[in-house]
Amino acid sequence: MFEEENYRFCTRLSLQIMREQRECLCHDSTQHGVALYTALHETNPQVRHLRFQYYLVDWFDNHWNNLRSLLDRHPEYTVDQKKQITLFFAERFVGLLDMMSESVSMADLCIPDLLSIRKTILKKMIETSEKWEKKSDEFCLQNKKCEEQFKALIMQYDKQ
Amino acid sequence: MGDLFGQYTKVPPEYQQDNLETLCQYEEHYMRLVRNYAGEIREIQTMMENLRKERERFYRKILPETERKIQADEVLSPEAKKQWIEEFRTNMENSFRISEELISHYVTSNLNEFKDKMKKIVDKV
Repeated sequence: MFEEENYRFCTRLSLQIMREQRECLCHDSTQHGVALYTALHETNPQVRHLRFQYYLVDWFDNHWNNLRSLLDRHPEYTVDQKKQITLFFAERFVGLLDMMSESVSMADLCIPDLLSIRKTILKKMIETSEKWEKKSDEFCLQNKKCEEQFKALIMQYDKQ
Repeated sequence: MGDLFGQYTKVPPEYQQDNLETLCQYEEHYMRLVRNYAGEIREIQTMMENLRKERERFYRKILPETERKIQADEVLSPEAKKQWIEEFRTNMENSFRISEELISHYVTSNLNEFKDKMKKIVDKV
């Protein structure tokens, strides 16, 4: 059970992360973000679909990266506070992942377990709260792996 | 008019208090509790207002502006334009919904705590 102050802080922090990521999406859309506009200008529909998935998953993953980076900038938080904040955010974050999986761009995933593996890691993090740090690292590692997979797939199409 | 007040459970007669002193005590405790929660009430109001303004700005300004810019781009294919505008709208709306849920949970948590404290006060009065 959270203390009142911690609950308020977690809510505020989560809202801040969500807002910052929305600002990134808006900025890329209005200011011709490179990754997004590379996807938009792609003439091959399959590669465009791939690039859109890459862009959206990257946007999603950046919510988590943003959280980690915020926590790293505050060494004064205790391990227990970081754990509470991480688990609090993970519970809400799973909801965003569920919504994302219903979008048109996430149909026919180029990397089959792209979303399901993230959901599994987050759910295990919430269930086995004592292993939260390990699961958080696993989530970040999954992001990097996914980035490499996308780059390799795009390179394959570029070579054709 | 139907059963307009049917949803409200009636207070059993044995619990009804029409003693003025009791009612004044209740009101005093209630107002003190509201004052103690003034910070949270203001915080929730600010959170909701900020989200509402952001959402309004997105639908009134940002989304139409993005649609105009994308539609004006003659290089992009119609399919790409349509796909991105839809994704942009959908993912922003999903994000707004998650933020709404965050605030809603915070409200519920405070409300439950408030009700628990009120119940203790009512039991004492």
